[in-house]
Amino acid sequence: MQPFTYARPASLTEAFTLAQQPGAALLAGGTTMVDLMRGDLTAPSSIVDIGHLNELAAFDTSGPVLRFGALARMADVAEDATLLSAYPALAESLQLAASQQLRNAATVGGNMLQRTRCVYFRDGVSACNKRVPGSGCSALDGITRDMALFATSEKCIATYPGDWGNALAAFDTSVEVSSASGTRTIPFAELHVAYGDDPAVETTLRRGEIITAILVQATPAGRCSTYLKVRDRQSYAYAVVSATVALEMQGDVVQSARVSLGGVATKPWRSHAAEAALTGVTLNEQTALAAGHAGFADARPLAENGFKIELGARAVARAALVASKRI
Amino acid sequence: MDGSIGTPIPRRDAMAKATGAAQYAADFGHTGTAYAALKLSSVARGRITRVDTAAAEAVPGVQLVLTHRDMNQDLGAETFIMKGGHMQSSFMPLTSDEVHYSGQIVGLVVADTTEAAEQAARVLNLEYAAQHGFASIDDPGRTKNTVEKPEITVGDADAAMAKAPVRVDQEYSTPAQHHNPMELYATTASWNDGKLTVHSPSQWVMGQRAALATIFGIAAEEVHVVSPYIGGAFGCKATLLPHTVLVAAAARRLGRPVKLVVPRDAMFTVGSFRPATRNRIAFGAERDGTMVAMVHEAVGQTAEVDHIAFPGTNVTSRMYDIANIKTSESTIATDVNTPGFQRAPAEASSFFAFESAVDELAVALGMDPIELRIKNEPKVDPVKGLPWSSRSLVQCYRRGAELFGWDKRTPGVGSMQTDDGVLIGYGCATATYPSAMVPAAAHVALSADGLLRVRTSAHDVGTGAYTVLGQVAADVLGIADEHVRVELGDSDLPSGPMSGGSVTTGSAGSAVHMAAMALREKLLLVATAAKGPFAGRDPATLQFASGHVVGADGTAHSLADILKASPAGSLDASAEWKPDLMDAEKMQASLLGGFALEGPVTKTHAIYSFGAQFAEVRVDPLLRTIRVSRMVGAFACGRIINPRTARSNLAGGMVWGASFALLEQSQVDHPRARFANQDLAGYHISSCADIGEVTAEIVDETDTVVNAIGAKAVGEIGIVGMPAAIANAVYHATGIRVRKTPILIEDLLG
Amino acid sequence: MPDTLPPETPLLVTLRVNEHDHPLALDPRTTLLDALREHLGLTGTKVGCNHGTCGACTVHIDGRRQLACLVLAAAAQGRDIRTIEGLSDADGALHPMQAAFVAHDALQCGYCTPGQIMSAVACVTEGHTRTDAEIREYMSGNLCRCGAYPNIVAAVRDVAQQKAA
Repeated sequence: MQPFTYARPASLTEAFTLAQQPGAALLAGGTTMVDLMRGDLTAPSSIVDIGHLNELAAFDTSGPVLRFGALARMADVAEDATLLSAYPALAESLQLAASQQLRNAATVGGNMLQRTRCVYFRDGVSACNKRVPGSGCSALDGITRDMALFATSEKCIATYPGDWGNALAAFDTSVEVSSASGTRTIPFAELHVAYGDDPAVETTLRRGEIITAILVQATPAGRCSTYLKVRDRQSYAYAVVSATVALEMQGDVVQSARVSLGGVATKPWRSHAAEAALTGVTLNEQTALAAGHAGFADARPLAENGFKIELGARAVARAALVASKRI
Repeated sequence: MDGSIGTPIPRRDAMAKATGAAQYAADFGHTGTAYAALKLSSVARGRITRVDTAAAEAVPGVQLVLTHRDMNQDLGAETFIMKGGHMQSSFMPLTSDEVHYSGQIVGLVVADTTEAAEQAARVLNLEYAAQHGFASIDDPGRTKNTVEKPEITVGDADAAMAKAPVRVDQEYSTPAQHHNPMELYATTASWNDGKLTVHSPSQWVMGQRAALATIFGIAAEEVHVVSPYIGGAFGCKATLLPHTVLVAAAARRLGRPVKLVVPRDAMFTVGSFRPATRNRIAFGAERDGTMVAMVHEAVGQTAEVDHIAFPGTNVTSRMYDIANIKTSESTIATDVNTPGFQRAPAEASSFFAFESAVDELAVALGMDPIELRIKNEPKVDPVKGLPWSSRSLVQCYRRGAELFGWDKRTPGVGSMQTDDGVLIGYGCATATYPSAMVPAAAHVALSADGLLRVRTSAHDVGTGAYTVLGQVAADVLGIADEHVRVELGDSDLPSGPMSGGSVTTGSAGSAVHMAAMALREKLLLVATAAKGPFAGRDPATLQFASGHVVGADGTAHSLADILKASPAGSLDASAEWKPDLMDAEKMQASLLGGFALEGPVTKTHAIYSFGAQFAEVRVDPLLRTIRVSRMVGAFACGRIINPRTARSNLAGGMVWGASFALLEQSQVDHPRARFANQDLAGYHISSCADIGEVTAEIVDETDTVVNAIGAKAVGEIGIVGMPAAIANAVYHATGIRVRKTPILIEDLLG
Repeated sequence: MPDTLPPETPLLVTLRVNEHDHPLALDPRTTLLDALREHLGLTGTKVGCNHGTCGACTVHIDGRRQLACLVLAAAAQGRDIRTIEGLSDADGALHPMQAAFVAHDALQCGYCTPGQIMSAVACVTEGHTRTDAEIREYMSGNLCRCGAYPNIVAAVRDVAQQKAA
């Protein structure tokens, strides 16, 4: 870890000021930040600890817009009774993430920004355009089983790992961000950026901005939803693939569908192709699987991750069938 | 509580461990400690061309930066354990500018705080002239080196194979794996008046002592290695690791204690690992299931800097009654740290192959896999024709099958399913582990307060040695468990064995038994002497029970009373035990920290533990995820001193087997010739959720040959059959034969 | 203002651990784990990975289980921290979970055990003990390389049932 100064602002206003300084980084739950700092994968010169700003920790899942304060703990949100019944996919994505110890510490705002598990990013020595811009990408000729099939570039193929972020992608989600210069709302689909010239840039957040809340438009599809996570290890492991499916059903017929895919893209990945393939069809094992395959039609497999096309399609199919029974 | 042999008393160290009071190496505090951090090589092969320490030295609090330029001090030469020394490797880091593997130690930084040391290590700048390296036995162009020892040849395997009406012939592979004990390697070294004290988790404090004495040019008695608790070892803490030498050297230079906790990623290259293997197994059989020929060609990974091989052929060749056997052993050198012992080093990988092949033969024959094995049960060792010291494999299969419910298995592939279509598979496999014996010394002392102290420098790596070694002594002297204290893991104690190879209970236990018997004789002498409470009685008529000596007429005197009749008011006894057939010279070398063992095949017997292992797997029909819902193992390991700790040990081995089968692999990044997944998020070991029901059953067995207490190997056998049992169950569930581990989702997607 | 001081300046941090306040002068980079182990001598909390991937350093912060390796000591100011050393009664009687771990032989090498026990106590408090499957899932953040899992599950189940009775 490189040296830094530590500050604990007494208010959000003070935090805005501190966060604007060059080299400043926010510390909330710390589960990602401290880990990255220990590996010198990030080296802020000042830490602005906002973990205790309780005004950002409240959440309300009952209104027409679900509002999650950025500092709400994953474990608390995971057990929210309304969320469990009305948006099981969101609750499940939190329950299946990490471990209870980490969920007790990690915040829903911070977790959304979780950085990739790519071994070449994490090892601190391999070429990595994300860690050292311009150094190249060792993953391209390396171990690609865990790399992405969507939104990759010749500069980076690292998978976005978050469960919660991937589940949020299936809904009409936006993110409220504030800074000394005011507040704005970013549609979730525009929060994370696909890797272009500079894979080190992962979000559209600007210096000094603090995520204050996550907003999800209420939808009846929430009740008819699930987050399905396929792992090598039964627990405490990242997704090999995951699928979020939320449906509005009329009998056996899908009226509307929301689908996102995890473990397969460089950013949270909503699959409009899978949604289109589900919409209007009579749901059964065949149509569900066909929709899953549609979701992977544009996938660009690498040497070792091609199996995720079939596995991911099956995960979508299973998730759709599970979700459809939650009426 | 009655602590006699066979009693399942609670683990003696459980309280200390459950309260956090048990002190592991990194838990010992030393005044004025400085903290060290490692710099590891980022290239796999080449030379260090430039060292720039300026940035590291500029970090506030840095006291010392060591690279190869600074280590030309007069360190004595120690050697690789396989060459008669104690080191994990022949190659000692920081002795030259050579880089032999990625993750090699190329620098050590010491600072006042751990934060400063880590920061400085990060900015220590080294430049390399790198060459292309190879870290995998699958890299093209790697050449095989045949091991220079005779192949096992019995009969004419080629001819018998050619004539056999039923044959299977397949190759199986296993990847490199790492021990990943929960406790990180850690060393604190301090010097006092020219004497060195090292706190370091060790399976072999006497070996470490001997090695450090050689390296630092001091007498063995001037080295004190302390390791009372070891947070998991599994083979990786058996040898002296290079960082301990560097930390001790740094402490000597600085004149203050130096502590290093090796980070998790460095655990993959600072110590050893289980090398990758490829095993070709072929069987020839008659249609009735009689095995007539077997071939086992073992290929294993080794390092460029060392040669080490764990082919397992000397074990697979002893499993079944086969008249024609041919084996060969080869290695492929790679640019990695030297591989080493990892729980059942030879057996775990080779038995995945071998017992998968037996299952394939059963399928080819249309035979029940248990019946096939029982039909070919050998009466004597098929290689040497020697009798077994004991072998209860058939009983293990019968008992295990009963506990598992093997009779409910329908043989057809995919024929067993749950109501919601989940595929169920049942599989089984044989396990075995050699029972080798190592010389050991022990001291027992009975003090006036009635406490029995048992002392030997063996180690409890979680196996229960603190508990069982006390029981061995308590049993001889009829002393209740709460009056027994056991001291282990300290090089100032009488010389115990390296706690590896499942030797501790049998070897150190035999020494403790011998010492306790000597103390018993002394107690009897005192008791029957003129001033003793049993003056004039024949010692042979006296019994030891419940802390008393009891005469044939029922007269009882407490041990405390008898001690009062002794001149010092207390008594003690020492013993040095050696395997029967070992010569005294070899024993003495071993007790001084050398490495000598006898068996498992002696001049008179073949000495092995045996077991039968069973797995039930559940495979999701769509997603093809595999869950091990049940495991059963039935084991015969001679006399069991404590069934409770033995069962836990055996069950832990089975958990390792499940982890081996479905999760574990050290992924090789071929272009950069390095292990890539160097953390516990990337290198998966079983979590609690992965493990369903586990039953470890002990099958009664008496072995009068193996050693003084009749105890055979327990610590490693639990893993041996499990990977194949699971692979065989996966085949039964899905019809897909996966001949490599780990068995992953993509292997079953079709 | 903190940014006017060089980063090497020690931070004055008071940690409340096992109901005692401990004033410390720490490098800002010091984690709660290192503060407990290297500065307070509370070595019952173990270091297994320093990356949040093993659970060996599990402690309770404000009554909830967390990983001490991923918490900066500075950020733990004002929190109520409990470690394995603070789990037993003042008179030294074992916590029921500690007793259950001994009774069920839910440990072997013992290195993960303090973390397992801290996690298990919280698991019961949280109520995540309705089935064995739930216990397994909610105890999966604590890796045990010795493979004591079946006995760990038995210990947690036992304490949960005692509590329900």
